Formats: sequence, structure tokens, C-alpha cells
Amino acid sequence: MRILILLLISTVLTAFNTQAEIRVSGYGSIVAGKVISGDPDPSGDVEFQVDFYDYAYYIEEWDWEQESMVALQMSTDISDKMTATIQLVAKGADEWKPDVDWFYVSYELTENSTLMVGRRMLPMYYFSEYMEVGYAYPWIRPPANLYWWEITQFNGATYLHNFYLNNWSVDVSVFGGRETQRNIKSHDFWRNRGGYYFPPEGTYIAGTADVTWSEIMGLNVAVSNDWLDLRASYFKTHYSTTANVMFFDEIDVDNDGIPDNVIERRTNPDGTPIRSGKSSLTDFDLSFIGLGGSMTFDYFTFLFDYNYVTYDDGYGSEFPTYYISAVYNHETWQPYIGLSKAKLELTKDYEGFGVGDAEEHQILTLGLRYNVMNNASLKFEWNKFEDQGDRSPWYDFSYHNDATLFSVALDFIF
Amino acid sequence: MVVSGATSADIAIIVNPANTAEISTDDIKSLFSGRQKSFSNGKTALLLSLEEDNPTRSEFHDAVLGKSDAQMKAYWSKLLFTGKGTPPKETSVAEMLELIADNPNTIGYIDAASVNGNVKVIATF
Repeated sequence: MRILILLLISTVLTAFNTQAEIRVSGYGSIVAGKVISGDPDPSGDVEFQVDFYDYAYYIEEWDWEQESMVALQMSTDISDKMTATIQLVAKGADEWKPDVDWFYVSYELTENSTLMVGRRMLPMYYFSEYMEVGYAYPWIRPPANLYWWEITQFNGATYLHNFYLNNWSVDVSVFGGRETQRNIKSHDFWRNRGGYYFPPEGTYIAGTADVTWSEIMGLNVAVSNDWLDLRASYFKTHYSTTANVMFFDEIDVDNDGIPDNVIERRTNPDGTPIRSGKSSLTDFDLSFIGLGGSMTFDYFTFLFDYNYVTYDDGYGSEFPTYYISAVYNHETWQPYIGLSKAKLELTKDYEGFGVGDAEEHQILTLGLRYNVMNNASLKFEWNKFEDQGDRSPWYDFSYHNDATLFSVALDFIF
Repeated sequence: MVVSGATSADIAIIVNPANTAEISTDDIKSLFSGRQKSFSNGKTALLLSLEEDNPTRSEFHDAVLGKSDAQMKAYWSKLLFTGKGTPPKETSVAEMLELIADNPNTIGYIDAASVNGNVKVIATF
């Protein structure tokens, strides 16, 4: 299937013009990390999650395949107004299988407006559109407790209008589309670590989820001058998650691979247990609003991102999150510091469940970027993850263990 | 814009002599940071930059854009990999002079001492 896609793409890229020049560029990261301290989670390991979508995390042993990746971008002009661009990304966390992260055709409607149709990154957080281009930002990764959604790309259309006014450049874009991700492992991962409920220690439950964001509709407004860059983002979507096996625990006491006990965790409205089959885990609207930006001074750059996600669910779930970071810009050395904080607040009392904070955690980041070559930088980073939520089951939807991570990265572009 | 006596260190911003567009210092900054894409006459600007081993490149980044080479490289990589811009074409001094003399939509910079009669200097830093 992947080979078919690649063949199709290369045909499209060359079909329009056999003389077409294909511009090739790329980026990549080699990242190694090790948890240096922390509390074990229900799996028994001290884990530090770095990529929820690709299910990447570090334990107390050096590992270089969790975040290492390489991407190839190819673009070609189909006509003087139309350009096709593709990005193939292969990640260690995904067994190095190449995925099509971006594949779109952009058409210049007028001098100031462009229509882009195809697959692109969803412009959600301030760094979402280039969250995998490590070379383009100071740290090893954007904060993992904010950039945790299963959906990072979408298939659809973006209309971009830009103009220039009194030294300010203004970009306005509207976008719409949808995206489905199948067999997401992170749901399985979280269920086994108390994400949805609290299985006995050592219990392993198989199962993955399919997530669809449909009817995505959004608006981005970005303004910038030579020291300030601000971006406001809004979108809404219908968020549906289905899972094959969601609502029971299989407990294998003697470890022979055969479950000895099955505990039903949830029931249908008529009281019968939900044991298997396609069950809907989320089926509601999600809205996202965010304001992010950067301020560049002679020696310092300040970056911030504030976001608010709201679910139209029974609990009235709201996720206020923010990130702030400061970078000192020496010619080749760039030390940096950052703090990211995420919360889940329940605002509606669903069947007596109660309201209040259901999840809260922060990551403190200290690091150093060394621009070792023209197109490569070496980064050393220390991250401290702290769960600040109440650990009682009813008030902590997702307990995350505290952990401290040390990682080293070589980010490059070519 | 500074007019100094030390000509060897001066950077000249150059365009084709036929380019009559008004180009301010702010325009130069916005063009070379990808925020502005065309000249005041509506023509799309073709940006030219010196190759990485040329010291005038670092001086240009520092004096005109107020950024280090690494900051500019990271900045352009963001635009390139999000489909929002293409970094300036990299050339030698000789290629730059030739391309600018040939094409009225180009803009570039060189050491002021290398300027010849086929290009027009619109600013020096």
C-alpha cells in the first residue's frame, strides 16, 4: 500500500511536466534519552512520555529510537501558479516506516492569495505546523504535555490571504477538512497506566483505538514585524474515538497468557456489560482557541503559547494549557528555559461525578543548543515532569508519574 | 542605514538598474525575512544570498536583520518545511552580480567594494 502511494505520488509529481525540476530538501533528528529519576507507574517502569501520538517514551535506559526521525520534502512546479509538495517522514517510534505527513497542491489565485488542497499539518499550537522540524526551534521537542493529540494532520483545503501594511505582515487563513488515525496505541498505553481506570498492577489489556476529527473548520490570523510574531488560532471539529476492546480488564494471574478473570468496567445504558465490539469512547464536538507568539530582542527571544480546548461532552471538559520559554541567542550557543502547564477541568456535574480539576501537570525544561555546523545543531536538555493532580480515582482522569529526563539531540536540515 | 568610511566592511544592497520600485530599509528587512514577497511595483522579488562561507553573509544577517546565521537558518527552515516560503537562492559574488544584471526582479547584497556598473545600489549598511 505504501509503495502504491509512493508510486502514485511520483507519477503525479512528474506527469504534469516531464521537464519539471524537483526540489529536494529534508530534515531529521537523532535523539537519545534516559529517565534519570522519578516514580514508577503501574507498568513498573519510570516512564517519561515525549510523543503521545506515536507512543514514544523513555525509561531508565538509554534509547535512541523513540524520537529519531528523518523527513524528505520534494516539491515541483506544475505550472507557474501551481506547486505540488510532499513530505515523507520515517520515525524510529513507528519502526522507520515512511508516512506521508504532507502532500498538497498549492495554487496561487492572486498575488496575495493561495489555495492549498491536500494533506497538511493542522495549524493548532504555535509550533504545530513544524513540530517535527527540530532544527527550526530551540528545544529538542515542543512540550509533550501540550502537543498530545492523536490528530496532527488533516486532509482538506486551506485558503491563505496575506498582505503587508505599515511594516506588518498579515496572514489570514481559513481551513477545513477531516482526518482519521487508526490503531492508535496511545489509548492502549494509557488504559494500562490508569488513564481511563485503574486496573490491578501488572494487568495488561490489549486494544487500540481509531480516532476521527471530522468537520474541521478553522481560522488563523498571524501578524509579524521584525521583532514580534503573533498568531491567533481557532478551530472546531467533531471528535469521535472508537475502540475494539475498551471496557473490560483481562487479568492473567498465573501469567500463562490466558485471562483468569475478566472485570467489566462499564455498562450499556440497560445495565448489560460492554465487553467488546466497536464502542464509542468520544463522540462530541471539540473547539480549540489559542494565542501564541515570539518576541526577538538583541540577545533574548521569548516564546509563549496559550490555548484553551473545550469538549462539548457530559463533563463539560475544558483544557487550559500554556507554554512560556526564553532563549539566549549567542552566535553559536543558545541556552534556554521553558515551562509548560496543562490542566483538565470538569465544569458540569455528570450524574453526580462532580466538578473540578481532573488532571494537572507541568514540565520544566532547561537546555542548551549548540549550532555545531551551518545546518546542524546539537542539543542537551533536562525535563522535569510533575503531576500536580489529585490522585484519587474520581479526580484524576489521567495520573502521570513524575519523572526527570535527560536527552541529547542532533537536529539537521539538508 | 549608515554611511561609513570603512568601505571594505560595508554591505551594499543591490538591484537591477531597471528596478524603479521604492525600497526602504524596512522593505529590505521584510523581503529578506520572507514576510514581504514583492516590490512596491507589484513584481515578485527573487532573493539572492551569498554562500555560507562568505563572511559578508554573516555581516548582512547581523547588521541588516539583527540575527545570527543560525537564527536565520532555523527561521527559513520553518518557512520552507511549512510551505510558507523559499529561502534566498545562494550564489557567489560573481553569480550574484550576473543574475542581478540580467533580471529586474532580483535583489541581493554584496561587499560594497565588489559593486560594478551593471547593478544599482539602493542602500548600504
